Amino acid sequence: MGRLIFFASALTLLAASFFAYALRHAELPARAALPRPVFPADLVQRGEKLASLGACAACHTRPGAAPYSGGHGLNTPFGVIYSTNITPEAETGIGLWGEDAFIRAMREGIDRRGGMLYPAFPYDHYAKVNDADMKALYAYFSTRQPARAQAKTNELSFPFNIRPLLAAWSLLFLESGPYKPDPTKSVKWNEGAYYVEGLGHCGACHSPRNALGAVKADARLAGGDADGWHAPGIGAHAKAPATWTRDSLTNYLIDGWDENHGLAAGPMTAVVNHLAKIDESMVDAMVEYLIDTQPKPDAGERTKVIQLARDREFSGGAPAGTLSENESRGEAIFARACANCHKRGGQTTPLALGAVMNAPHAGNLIAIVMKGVQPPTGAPEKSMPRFAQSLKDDDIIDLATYMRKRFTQKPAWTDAPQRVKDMRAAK
Amino acid sequence: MIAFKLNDKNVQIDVPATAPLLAVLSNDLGVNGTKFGCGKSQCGACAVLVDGDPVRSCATQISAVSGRSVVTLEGLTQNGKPSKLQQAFIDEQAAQCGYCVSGMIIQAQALLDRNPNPSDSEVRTALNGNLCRCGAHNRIVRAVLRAAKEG
Amino acid sequence: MDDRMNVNRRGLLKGVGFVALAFAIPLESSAQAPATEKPRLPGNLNTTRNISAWIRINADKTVTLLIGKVELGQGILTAVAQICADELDIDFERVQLISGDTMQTPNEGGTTGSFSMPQCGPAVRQASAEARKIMLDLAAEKLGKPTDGMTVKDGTISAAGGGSVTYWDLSVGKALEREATGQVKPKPASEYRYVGKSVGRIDIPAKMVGGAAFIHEMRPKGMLFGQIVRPPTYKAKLASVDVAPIEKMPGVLKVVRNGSFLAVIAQRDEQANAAAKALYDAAKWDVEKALPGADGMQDWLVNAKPARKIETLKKPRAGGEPAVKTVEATYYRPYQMHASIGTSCAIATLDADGVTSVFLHSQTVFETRQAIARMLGVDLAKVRCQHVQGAGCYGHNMADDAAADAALLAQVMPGRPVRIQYTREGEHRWEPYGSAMVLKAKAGVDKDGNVLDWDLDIYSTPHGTRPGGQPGNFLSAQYLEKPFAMPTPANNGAPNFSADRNGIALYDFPGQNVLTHFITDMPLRVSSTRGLGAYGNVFAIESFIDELARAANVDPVEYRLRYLKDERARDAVQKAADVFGWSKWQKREGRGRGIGFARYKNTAGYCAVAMEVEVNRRNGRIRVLRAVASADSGHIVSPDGVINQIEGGLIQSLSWTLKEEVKFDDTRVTSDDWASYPILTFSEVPPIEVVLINRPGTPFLGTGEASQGPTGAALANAVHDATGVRFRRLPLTPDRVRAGLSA
Repeated sequence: MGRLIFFASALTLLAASFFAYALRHAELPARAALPRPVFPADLVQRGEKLASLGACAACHTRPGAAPYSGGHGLNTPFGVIYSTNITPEAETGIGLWGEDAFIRAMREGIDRRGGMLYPAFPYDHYAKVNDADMKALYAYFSTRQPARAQAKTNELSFPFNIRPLLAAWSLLFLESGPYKPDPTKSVKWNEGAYYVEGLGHCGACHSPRNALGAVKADARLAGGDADGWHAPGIGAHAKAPATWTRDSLTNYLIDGWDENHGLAAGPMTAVVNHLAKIDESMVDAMVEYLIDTQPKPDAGERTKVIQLARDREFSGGAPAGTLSENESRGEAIFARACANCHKRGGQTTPLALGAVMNAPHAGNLIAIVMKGVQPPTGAPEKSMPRFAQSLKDDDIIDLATYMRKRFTQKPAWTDAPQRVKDMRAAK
Repeated sequence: MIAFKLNDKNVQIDVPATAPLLAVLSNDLGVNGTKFGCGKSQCGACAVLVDGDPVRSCATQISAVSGRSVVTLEGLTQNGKPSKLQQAFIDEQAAQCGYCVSGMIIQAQALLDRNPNPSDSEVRTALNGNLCRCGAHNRIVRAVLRAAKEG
Repeated sequence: MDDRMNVNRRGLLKGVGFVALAFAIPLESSAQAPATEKPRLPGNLNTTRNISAWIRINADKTVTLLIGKVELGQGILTAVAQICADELDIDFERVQLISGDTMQTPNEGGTTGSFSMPQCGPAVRQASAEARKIMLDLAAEKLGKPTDGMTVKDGTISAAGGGSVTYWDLSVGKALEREATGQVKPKPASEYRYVGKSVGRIDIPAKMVGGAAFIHEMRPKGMLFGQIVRPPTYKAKLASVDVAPIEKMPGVLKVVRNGSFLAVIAQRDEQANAAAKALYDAAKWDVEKALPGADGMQDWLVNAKPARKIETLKKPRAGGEPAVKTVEATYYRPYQMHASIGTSCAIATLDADGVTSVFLHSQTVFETRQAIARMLGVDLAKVRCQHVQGAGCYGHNMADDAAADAALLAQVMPGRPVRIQYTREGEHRWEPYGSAMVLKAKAGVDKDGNVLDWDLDIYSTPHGTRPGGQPGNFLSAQYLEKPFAMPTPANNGAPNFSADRNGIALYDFPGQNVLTHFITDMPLRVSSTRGLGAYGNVFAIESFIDELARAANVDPVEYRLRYLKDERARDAVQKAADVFGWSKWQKREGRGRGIGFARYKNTAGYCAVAMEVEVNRRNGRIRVLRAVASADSGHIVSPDGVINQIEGGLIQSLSWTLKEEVKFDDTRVTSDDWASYPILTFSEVPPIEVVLINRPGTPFLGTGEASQGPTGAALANAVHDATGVRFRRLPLTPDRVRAGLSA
């Protein structure tokens, strides 16, 4: 079935590409490599904040490599895509790009020479960024230290390795035009919406995608997957067990931790580490938008949920006779490996409240158990060691099964064995 | 009988399958570097590398490393000499009591294997799960950065 | 497996080929005060006066230095080796050390109170200088030349006009077996090769490669594993327990029940732990609920009936104008843990000759030996204690308890070494904490805000329950069938003090009174924790003077200098301020700067700490951006050693001040591991600069506890500067800061 959809989609893409062929893109003129242009300091500063807001470095900087020199591999359903060098280096970076080329790339996913960029670079979101901010970003990236680093070749399967097809992708899925403010909402709300939907590209991970990897237009922010992690629904689709409040969401986005929501782990760690560097007012704006659009719960309900989660987590094991043999094994492993820290007074968030246990698949939990947690900069004491080698495959699977049952009322996960296998293979 | 590789040598040992790796290393196999600190995976003093991954040996049953390769602080030495990283710790005098340092070096080795050129804050993040009580933190970070720099 | 363990007690004596073979040093009497007519000798040489008790010159071209102080990670072995090498004119590498062995080394009392360098350093210096003189005399005899004009290079003595002989060639015989005279003058500072330079610490290389370094890795042949089962609460009594099923558990050799003291001995470590856990579950206890709880502790201290009210200082102002205003403030320091990273460990063996040999990492091997002998009811000669390094202890942690427990268990397993290493919970819940304290400060000021009258009231439980030869200070001894009662702890008087350590402000106020409310009821077990009362007292004094400076609208550095008459104190404050950039510091939103100063014990090292913080009003988190510490420890032997101690103390104090509080409810301590008692992590440690003020030729001043007090106060002062809110209750956790800012 999946394969059928896939081929149907590919066919659609192929058809669209014929139309797209007529719209081939021009190479834009190279800017002189030297002398490098000079920009006003405040413009560069604004650009720096925007670059943090967009967490550009999260994809464009490999650990240990020069900032923004690219080479970071992004796992997508279609293969591995490597980020490019966006330092102002003439040959391997964007040193020859004029402002027009930069803005075109950001909005249309077309490089200076006219080639198509993969939408792993979320230009469908960046299209909403206004001209002033584009100029600031250009100023910022033009003033970085140039680094020579040749882009790595992507590892994509057919037909996704055919770049011209991407023109068709854009034609089908790219909504162009900058962000349009909602006049019924406050300035702050609109600023937040502009960040969330635009440069912040929250939807790139937090939205479901279709078979061609495009965000489903009717389900923006309804929750999606990235790098094997589930990114839960946010804004209108938020469904955290404890409803987000302004304070808790601000804490989460800046510190990477809130006592009733837990830790920003996985790909979200880099995001919050970047948000910690920008003006708090910019985060406030995003929070304004996300909180205003989320479903309004009964305030008493939140307190009750939190209390219940705390009571359940810290009141010993599951009732007798309610666990299967494997779940009992999982319980023993939990007691041995997890409960030393996930306990009353242990300063952890009740597991029942976090997104990990409530995710539709076991990917997040398995990743955390196996790889541990390197905490966000705002919550340095929230480390967790890796258990990949301490626990055997069956241990991890039983643990996941037990935890899902113990800490949620959601249906059991079925994907744990495959996830463990994938994680071992990825090593 | 459980067989695994310890510091590049094959070992076979007949101990209870649920015995902690730490206890077996220390009490049965004569390993000095690996230290008991908490028995709860909280402090990192007992860290070893298992197939290159930093692992808390206090919370790892010996059966889990069957067929795998375990490296302890001793195993990082090269021809009986301190490794670059160990030498950097000596050069920076990166200890007060030195009890936590074994775990620190193992954790730092795992970081450098993955990221040979870490920043100050990357080193700190990687070591946040390892506790030091004497306040040797900045020395330890300097030692790791020094080892990285000296490649 | 472990070479150190293959050397038995007698073997140690014959194993080392030292030249000064005779070994009839009367160690027991060496601790006694010398006869009054004898000259006063430097440091602990005054009590152990025989040179050969300190120094042996060996045929294998090494020198053995024997000291009673022990290595705690503070670098003492390296520092005294530097002194010895310089005074003896030998290469540093030739110095070998034996430390803290009741059978071999001088009894130097405890390794405590930042006394190691002041007491041991001068002794080693003088003994080494005198040993050198003796060697010169021997050389003069052998070469037939006068000692005048002789030079020594790495143990080779050259006479003026030719002729040379080495230390190793000279027949030392009993030449060193004589009392020091005090007549030989040590070298001037300018002639030192090693003293004053940072020599790599001798204990560090082995620790980095997994060499033999710690007691924890000693594995003598035939060793068994013991584990203690503590009661659920401090005063619980064992009601009943069925030990039969425990005795049948795998590897279990013995279940020990003696009154309310329960323990197991097993073949393997994990078997001992499993059996201990099962034994705990099987035991039924009568449990009391009698604790005030962590949140009720401040009130408890103020309302408790003190055993004594001690006038630590009574120097009221003599006449003059009345104060125009009185300012008061109350500060609170909670219980804090030593919280060593390695749990306490000891190995004891009852040998066939009835001697119990104990390897331990205590700071007080001699007194602990005595307490163990009394606990076991044997002669002192039947107990030997040998120090082996442990994890950093920062005071009286459970090292002595472990030694006592190992000794107890060894009695039931004659001939077998029995090892104790506590569980994390066992250490966290049962160690003797640093006492909670309430500090009430009051000042009368004149119209310009100058201090006229200064009063500090200190409310504290004891700070010293070290063994001191008394078995009742061992935890387990209190639970035995025939229990040893815990002696009522004392509070030391001048000049060191305990609860009131550093209670007297070094500032020259017209009037100053310090009253100590010494409470000997102890809701939680307490004992010496790095700095004793100094941390709480300095926190209060240095916070309060900051409050007064701000009220007077005077810069806090300038205000302090008004009252500091001691030039070295002034230098320390000024140096920290200068290097910090105090005068040109620019205020920024959310940021603040603070300074704190103290001379530890008012007699040891001077230290001032300046720091900059950023306080996040949203989450209440304090981020320390940077810190500068100045340190004057007198004549510096090892600059890096001093920096390491000052910096380490500063970081530990940041951890105390930002995070640490022992939590307990009405029944028991609930801070039982690192999750429930978090300490500072790498990302929270700021860049730290330590500036040394060297005073060559002046006495060595202790360093190890100099920076804690100033750090806590500097932090609180910086937070006030950043927020305008004064925090007087420690620790400054995000929750507390957030609550304080929104109040």
